[in-house]
Amino acid sequence: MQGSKAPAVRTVTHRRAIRKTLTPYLLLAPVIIFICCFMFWPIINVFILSMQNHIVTKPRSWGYAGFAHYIKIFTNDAVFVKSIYTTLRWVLVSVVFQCVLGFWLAYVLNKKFRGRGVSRALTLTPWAVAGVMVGIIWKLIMGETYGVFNDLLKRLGIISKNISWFSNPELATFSVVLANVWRGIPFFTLSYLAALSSIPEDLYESAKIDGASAPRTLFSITLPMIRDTIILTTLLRAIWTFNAVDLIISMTDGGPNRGTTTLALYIMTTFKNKMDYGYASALSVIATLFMMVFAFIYIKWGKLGKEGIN
Amino acid sequence: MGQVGEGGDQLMSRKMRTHLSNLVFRDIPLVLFLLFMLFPFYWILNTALKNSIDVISIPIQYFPRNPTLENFSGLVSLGFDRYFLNSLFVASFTTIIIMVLSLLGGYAMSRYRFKGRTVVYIMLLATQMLPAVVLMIPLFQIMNSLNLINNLWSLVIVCSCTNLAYCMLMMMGYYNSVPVSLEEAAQVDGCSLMGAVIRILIPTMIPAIVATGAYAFINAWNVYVYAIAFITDKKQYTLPLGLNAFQGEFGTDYGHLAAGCVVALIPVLVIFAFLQKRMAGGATAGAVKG
Amino acid sequence: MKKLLSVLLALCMLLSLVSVAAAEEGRKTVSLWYHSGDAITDAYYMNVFEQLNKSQDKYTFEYTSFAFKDFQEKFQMAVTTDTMPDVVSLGFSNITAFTAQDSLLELSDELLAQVENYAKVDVGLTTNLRNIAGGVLYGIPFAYNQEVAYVNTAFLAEKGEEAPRTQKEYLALCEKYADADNGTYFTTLRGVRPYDSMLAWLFTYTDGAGFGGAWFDEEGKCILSRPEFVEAMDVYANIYKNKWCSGDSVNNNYNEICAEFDSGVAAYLVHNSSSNTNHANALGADNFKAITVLANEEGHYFASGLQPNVFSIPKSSNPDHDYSGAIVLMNELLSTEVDGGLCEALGRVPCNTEVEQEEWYKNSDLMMLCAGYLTDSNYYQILNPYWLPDFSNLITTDMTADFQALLLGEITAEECMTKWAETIDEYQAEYLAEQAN
Repeated sequence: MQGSKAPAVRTVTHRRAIRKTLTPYLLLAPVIIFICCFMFWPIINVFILSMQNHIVTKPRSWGYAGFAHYIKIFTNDAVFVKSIYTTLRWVLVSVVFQCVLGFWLAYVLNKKFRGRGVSRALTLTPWAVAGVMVGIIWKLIMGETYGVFNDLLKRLGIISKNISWFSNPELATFSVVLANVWRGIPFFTLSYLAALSSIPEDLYESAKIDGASAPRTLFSITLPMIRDTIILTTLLRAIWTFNAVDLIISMTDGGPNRGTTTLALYIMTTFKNKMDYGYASALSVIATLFMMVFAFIYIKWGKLGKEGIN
Repeated sequence: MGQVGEGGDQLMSRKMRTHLSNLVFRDIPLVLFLLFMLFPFYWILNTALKNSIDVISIPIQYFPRNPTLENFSGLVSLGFDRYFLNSLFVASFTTIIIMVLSLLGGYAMSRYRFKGRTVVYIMLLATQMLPAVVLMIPLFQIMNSLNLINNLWSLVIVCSCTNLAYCMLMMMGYYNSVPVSLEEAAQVDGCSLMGAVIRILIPTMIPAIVATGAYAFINAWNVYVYAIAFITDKKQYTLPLGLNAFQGEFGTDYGHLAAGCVVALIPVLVIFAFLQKRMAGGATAGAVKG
Repeated sequence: MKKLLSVLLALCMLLSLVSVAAAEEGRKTVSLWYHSGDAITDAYYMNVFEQLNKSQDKYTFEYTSFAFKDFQEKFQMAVTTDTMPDVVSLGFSNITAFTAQDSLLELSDELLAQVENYAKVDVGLTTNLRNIAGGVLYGIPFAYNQEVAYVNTAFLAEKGEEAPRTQKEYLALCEKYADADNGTYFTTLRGVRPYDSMLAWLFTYTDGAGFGGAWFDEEGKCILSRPEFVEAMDVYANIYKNKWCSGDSVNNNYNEICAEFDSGVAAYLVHNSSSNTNHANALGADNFKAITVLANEEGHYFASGLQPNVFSIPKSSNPDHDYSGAIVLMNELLSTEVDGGLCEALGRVPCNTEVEQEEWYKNSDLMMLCAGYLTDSNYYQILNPYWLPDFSNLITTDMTADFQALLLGEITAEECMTKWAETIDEYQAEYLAEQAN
């Protein structure tokens, strides 16, 4: 048995060595071609436009601007600075809560219980609700005078009179984050369910035999095994949340007093209302660079690709 | 959800204590959490059954006092059946394209260390990071020159492009968590690489495929920013655009909006209901043994 | 899997069948893009277009509408790619954005002569339009909204009060009936995009500083930073700070203030005439009425001037383009039946003066009220400087943020008004410099 294995291994490795050079490129070719065809020009265009003066309503001022926009962003834009803090708060709080609660839900839905199928189908719906609707329904729920959230709190005796959930930037941030967390949990749950399923049962069995408690199993076996998924989902979700503006527009329109204006929303209003394509493009480039740097640091810190139990 | 008791020879009080602590620390928070997840969905349904006056009436109606199905029946005359089919078209084809490409690409990213891997990484992340609003005009120009404006294929293409990165990286992550030993064992047993992948690897990754496919489907189902840009003709509207029409210049039609939203949710719910079994499962159990 | 594939195939076939439109032989297609679609408008215009297509065989008229919040970017993209339709509708505040890009056709006198129904349009409206475009007319008005106040008459009757006519009476009622503990108030306040109601208050309180509704004094400086305006703003902001309106008000847009009025939380609302039907549905036609906006001690009242929606013709990049189809369509849309029908359905004030002879118009209290504004010598139009291309952006983004900051106590009224006045002065200087070139 052993003897016949050796030549087979050598053949497999040898085949892999040749394939190694070509296969990944072949596999990735359709992806690369597809993306390059359609996304290449738009992305380049953003960079080009960021160095131009292009206010749509002022055609006479169009022309090359060099780095003027970038300089202005970093030296003379209070809204930009404010939006950085707002964005960090928005992304961090949303993603952390979505991640933790999403994992909890996945953990629960992974076990066998009656009505699991229905629970799974239902609890994953928030993610599927149309973006414009999430904002509208949560605004109806959180409204001060006609909102059911206040009504419930009053009935439960937690508050005695209506609270206005949008009356200052902190509360407004709470409201939009709440809606965003609600919307984002199912994404994590679904990803974690898939990841949890790939953990071999025998690992749990041997842990049980060794007498490990549930929390111990969780932290020593479950989480490390799905570390790649955790890192990727949180990273991708952070990027997505960074760019998500539909919810904020529906609920607070970036207010009050720009208290919920994230960088992405600032880009959008610069583009749409101010019609300053050059400046908006420069802001987008900055935003992208921020995210790139963050992504690389995060991936390195999370040691993507080197997961597993030692 | 019951956890197995710790053996029959334990004292009664400890069993009760476990049950009690389970109740307080696990079951009650869980019920509250599930209520939190489901309540807004219930509220959408509630709103859909109310006429416009009752939506904002005080005292708040937890059940519609004058329930009406008019919001739903009104949808058909507004063309929602067509929007539904259009959305289905876009979502289905986007999912197919993305699944095929990300299965291949994710495998390459996961199993091979090749030159230019980092470049691919950067490229994929970059397509995700730029906000849609600045990409819209050049994409519109491209689609216009291809004569794809007012054609649903433009949406399919752009949805695929913008979601491909996510899905490919997610698939890469899932591939990473399946040990390479699975394929290698299969190859040792005489499978070709292709065969190993198809017959051994993919079946263990069904939940991953379902998750990624669901992600692509839902994103394409709800795509809004690009839909506004590319589709003008009402006959080619997708559901989010149809819902948009209920937000007028001087008033929002909450009832119809909620009804449209419920209708938009039904296929997703149905798909989830059918696929929920595939979302989890211990398919790798025992595969590596022996 | 097989089932899924066959369903998909069927879908493909169905969709390809469905997307093949029946081609009309020999007819020229003329399309209208309407900027603010909703269920009623769409249904109305679909009907109109169907009739139009049946009644003649030279043109095929097509109607497309957009949601109000999206139309600007759609129009903008069409301008950039030169795919604009034959006729568009625009709001008053959007015209400058498009004329700045030279994308609308100048409506010369020869062209206007071909539009018979143009003669029926009230001259005052077209004057306003010419004023923001340096004397040139770029669109023909068809409907506008008048800023009015709504009061809940049932509430007033119950409390034995009269509807407030002056700002003083209004403030007294606000204070008297503000009940923060129970969540009911006398008034609503709009915090998001507050410009029309806020400007009405400011100009009325200060009596326009004697300039009759203009934003600039005799030297061309913006008058908003004057002490009397600062005082007016302080009084207005205090309505929120004294909790005489809901806490949400700082974040309320038109939907929310109408919701507060419709649900009975507040009894007074400043909005425009278009929401009349909503209130009638919610409260019952007998329980509310529309009245003129508040007046000051001299009896004068100011509100944003006649700012109509217009139909315009996009300019084609081809200098020999044939605009006759567009002209025909525009003429049809401005006719008494079509214009009158639309205004009747939506509660807008028609610009076609012949519509004033129609029964529905004469019987409508709301229309009579709006018409009354025009003949009342106490009414002054606020001449908003929409000729400034940046003005639209200022009032939607910066003014909202600054007003909210003021309500939340983060800046003072003086800082706020000075900032606005300085910005307007800047824009005006820029505009005048452009004009000189």
